[in-house]
Amino acid sequence: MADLINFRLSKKANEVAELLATSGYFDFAVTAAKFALAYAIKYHFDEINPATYTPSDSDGSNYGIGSLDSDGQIAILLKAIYPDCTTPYLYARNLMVFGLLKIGERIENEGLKSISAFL
Amino acid sequence: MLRFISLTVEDFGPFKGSQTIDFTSDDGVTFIWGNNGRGKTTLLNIFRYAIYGKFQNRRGTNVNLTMLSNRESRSEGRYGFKVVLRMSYDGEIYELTRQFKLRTGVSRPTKNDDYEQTVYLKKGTAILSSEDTDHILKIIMPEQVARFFLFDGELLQEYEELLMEDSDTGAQIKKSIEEILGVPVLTNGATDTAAVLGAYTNAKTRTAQSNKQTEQLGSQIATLEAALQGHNAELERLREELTQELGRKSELESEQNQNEHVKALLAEMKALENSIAEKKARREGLLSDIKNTTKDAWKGLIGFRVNEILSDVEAEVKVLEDKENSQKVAQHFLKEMKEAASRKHCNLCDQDIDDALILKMEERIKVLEGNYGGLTPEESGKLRTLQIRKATLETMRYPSSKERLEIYERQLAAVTVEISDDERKLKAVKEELEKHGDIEELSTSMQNCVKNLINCLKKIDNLKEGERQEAEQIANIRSSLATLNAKLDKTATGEDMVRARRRVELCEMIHNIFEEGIDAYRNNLKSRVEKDATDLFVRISNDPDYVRLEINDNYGLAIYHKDGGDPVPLRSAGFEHVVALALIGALHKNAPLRGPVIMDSPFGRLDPTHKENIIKVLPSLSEQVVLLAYTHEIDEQRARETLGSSLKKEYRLTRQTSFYTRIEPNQEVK
Repeated sequence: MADLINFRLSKKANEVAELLATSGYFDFAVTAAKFALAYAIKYHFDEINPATYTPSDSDGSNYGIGSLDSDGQIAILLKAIYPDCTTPYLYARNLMVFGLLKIGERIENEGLKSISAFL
Repeated sequence: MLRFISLTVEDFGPFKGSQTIDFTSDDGVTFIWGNNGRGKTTLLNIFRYAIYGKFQNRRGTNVNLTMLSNRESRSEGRYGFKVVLRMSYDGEIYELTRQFKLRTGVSRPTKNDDYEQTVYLKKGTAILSSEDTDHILKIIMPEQVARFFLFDGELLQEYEELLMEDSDTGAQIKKSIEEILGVPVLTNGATDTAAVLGAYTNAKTRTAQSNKQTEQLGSQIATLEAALQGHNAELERLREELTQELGRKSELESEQNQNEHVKALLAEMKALENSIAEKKARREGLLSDIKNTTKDAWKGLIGFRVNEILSDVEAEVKVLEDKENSQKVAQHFLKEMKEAASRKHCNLCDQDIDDALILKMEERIKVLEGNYGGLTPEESGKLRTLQIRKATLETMRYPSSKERLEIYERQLAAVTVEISDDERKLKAVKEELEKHGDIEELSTSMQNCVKNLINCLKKIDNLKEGERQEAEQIANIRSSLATLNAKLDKTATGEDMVRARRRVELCEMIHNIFEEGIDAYRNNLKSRVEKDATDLFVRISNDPDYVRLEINDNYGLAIYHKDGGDPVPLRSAGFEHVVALALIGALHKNAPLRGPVIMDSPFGRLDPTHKENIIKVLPSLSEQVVLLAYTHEIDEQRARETLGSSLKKEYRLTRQTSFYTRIEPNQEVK
């Protein structure tokens, strides 16, 4: 299966990424999405199988792989964490969507008072 | 005695619609509670407006009446306002209505002239003429004494001026004090007898002029009297002008203070704006630091999971590497065994091996070759993959950014609170500045004010010098007149002259009775005021060693310690307040004019003991006392207990909106 070259977040996940960026905590929405990927791996590792997870829609913004992972570190990381992974950017998209939705839920419940609380 | 029965306000200041306060007809105290901005001072000024038709701010400046109608009522199309004050005086019921309303034909006002003010006074059921209305209002509460009936606690410090010699404010207050104490009854009598004396003196002079024997003396006296009249008129004119200039000086000083206040506000606004800009820059810097940190925060975030996976991978690698290593060790041992079996000689112990043992060894070699066969090709491949994965994971063990972000966020939260505080202060300063109109024109207006004040001060100096010179001239002329009159009395023997002289002498004696009466009455009043003020002061004061007050010519009161000696110097603001209240109480007790006392925030900077003592003496200040206070200015429950049955009614000024206050009976009163 061929990996992604461009990807779109889901609409809801995109809203959370935009919220994180406009709150002043992140320079761009894509940085917040990368943060959400790591958040999903740290706190929801057993809840999501990025190989099979399917976002509800792809109505969010479009990103190129270059802007997400210019030095290829994310692909290397994901292959190291998921040894069977042959499509790291598909995994990355799914983890970002899942992580953003989880962060969104927390913001709804607790508000966005700090970003260090998510670390 | 004057007593207020009720007050109805309609669309006045924060009081939207028609609202009424009913006062009790029994002697006692009414409390009106209200927090800042709810309209306590406005309510006090509404009484003043009802009686005098003027509305003054704390600087004593008249306020433009068009600004006083309720803002919400205006937006609902109701312009102007109305006050109805019902009162009793000398057994009659009066209803005073004062209204500021749109002129006929005007529906939407754009200028002051679109309004007109109407006033009428009902005595019983009859409406009085405007002349009678003015007359009655002047009798029941003359404007000159209003400060003792409707008084603003914030202005009590003015009474300190009574202790100062040559203080203009002190002189004005002294005049008001003598008004309330009834001194003008005697001074008017002295003025009237002086006028009659002048007429008889002129008649005597004319008689002297008509007599050949005294003609020359009479002419000299007539000339001097004419000069005296001129100087007296000039002295009177100078005094009137001086009074006007003193009033003007007071207004200009007030304006100057206002300008100083505005200048201070502008400086504060600038400082706050700079502070906000600096803090916002700091906040931007912190946000930038946070963004830089969150760029790679994802790496620290996966650290925990990387370590966990790395630990599993390392375990798997260890199993395979152990297997690979044990095969290497076993291979060496097998090689040795095989060589020994083929040579039938052991190099290790240098002994030959018999055939039976060789067979056993060959069987053992077969078993060992099965057990330590090493990694299968699949296992070797897996080991390589795991080793690469392990190496990759080891490079991914980044430290967490949490601690650094927490520091930035704490700093960000602190600076955000500081900005918010400063912005709140700035808003308040700007609102205060807006009340002072066009800021741009302020510097010109300030310059003009300073110039006018300097001119006014020069004029006052000139007028005082003129007054002094005129008084000197008058004294000289009077002395010359006395000499000439003595000479005339010796020379003149005619019947007409004797009669004229007797008339003058009689009138002089009557006039002297008034003059002496004024001094005697003043001295008597002063000693009574001093005694009553001391009595009140001792009851209010929290210092038992301050035992008496001593009154001066201006009705200023000095505090004396039980050890005697000089009066207490440098009195605190709190004690100034207590002395002023004691003076006002004593004046009420000795005034022929009795009426309600309405006090706005009289507790100022007083401590709890003073506050409670003042509450205790409230019923003795007047038969009807109305106290306007903000919640917690005094302990409400304690005040109720202290006053007991002397507390007759309570109202509360309740906020409905920023521009709408309701006057409600206090539910907490028992």
